[in-house]
Amino acid sequence: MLKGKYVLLSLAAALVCWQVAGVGNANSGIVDACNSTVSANAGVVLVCPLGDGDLLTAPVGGGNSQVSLTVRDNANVGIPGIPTTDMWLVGCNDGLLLCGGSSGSNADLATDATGHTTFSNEPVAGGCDTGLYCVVQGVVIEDAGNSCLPKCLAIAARSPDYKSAGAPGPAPCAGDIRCPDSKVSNADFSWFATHYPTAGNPGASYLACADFAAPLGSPIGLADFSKFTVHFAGAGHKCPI
Amino acid sequence: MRKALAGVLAVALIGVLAGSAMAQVPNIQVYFDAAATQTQTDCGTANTVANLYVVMNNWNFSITGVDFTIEYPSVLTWLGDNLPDPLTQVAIGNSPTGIAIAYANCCPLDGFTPALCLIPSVLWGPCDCNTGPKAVVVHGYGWGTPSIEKPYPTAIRKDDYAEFTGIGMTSLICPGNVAVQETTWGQVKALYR
Repeated sequence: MLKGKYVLLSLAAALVCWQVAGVGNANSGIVDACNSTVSANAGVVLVCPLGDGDLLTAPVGGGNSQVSLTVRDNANVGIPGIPTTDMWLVGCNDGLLLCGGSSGSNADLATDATGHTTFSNEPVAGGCDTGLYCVVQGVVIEDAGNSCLPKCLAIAARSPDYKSAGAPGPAPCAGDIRCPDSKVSNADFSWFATHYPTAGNPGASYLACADFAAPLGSPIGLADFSKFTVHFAGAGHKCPI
Repeated sequence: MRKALAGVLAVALIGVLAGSAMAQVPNIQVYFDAAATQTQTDCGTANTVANLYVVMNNWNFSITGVDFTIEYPSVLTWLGDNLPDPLTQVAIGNSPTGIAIAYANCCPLDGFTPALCLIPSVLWGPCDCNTGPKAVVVHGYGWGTPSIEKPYPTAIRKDDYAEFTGIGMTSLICPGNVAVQETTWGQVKALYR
């Protein structure tokens, strides 16, 4: 009887030792926003509710703005196996209307053994924003070097869907107020035209949200108009969901 | 005499070569017929409406945008601009002051062949060929509005949205009625000194 107890205790001790030995590789599975890291080169991409905008790997004017993300827990250990559907991008200023919710901007792959993954596709969205947040399981990834504030990636996302045509979408809005409705319509064309210099409106004001093509900067030009129209003319592009 | 003949032939040959070289330059030209064969015409009947045909030649890429201005002579009153396929094409502005046309994803213009991009409607006014030729000239976008004027017509390549410039061509009404007077070769040469 006593011998049996010793055997049981020995087995328990061995189990504890085995677990302790494995601490270095274990993770809690709980995302730590500040220990996690996200980075990308600055850039500008056209995003469209139909999903045929500019890839993050091919932003306007060249370069590569692919987002690199490493998800870690509170012990700074990478969390592997987070599914793509649990990681997405949103506008830093809530300026993007995602088509299909977060599914329109998921990561390329589940996190690998080190907790790393990438985002190569632009968000499928309307609207306009000056930057992108990376969200993992509902947590915005933060910047450890900046007091753990949410990290806004300097990737401007601009969509030809900037205005609403009204019901069944959101109410139309005036001027340069943003109210996307997930479709590129006459409302968007009318808005874009106000920023296009013509003989009748030579002083058309520059708006970065209407600047879709290189060279970026004032004034809005033929390349911007051409790129806008690819998503507008014919059957205006819209969210298929 | 032979030397003179050879000289004339040489000049003619250079002219032919220059002509063929010019023909390869991307350009925009106004034609007076739908088949895009007539860049010259006589006066039309006053108070009748006619269509002009604006064609892009030699651009050699898939075109997703184009802009230009058309300078109309006083014998033509511009009435309006018609897009060849308004279901897949949109425009900002108008041809007398500057028009930009862009194309849907489905349907860029084929720049490898002459491509019709605009059909302006005009009204013939009083027109007299005895007063000399009258030009219909293609200029850059915003011609006459200095703050937005482009020096040449431009087009956008669909592959990468790169912008290219071309030449604005001149078409003539009453081309054969150029005023002439007797002169000498010396006077002609003097014009170019």
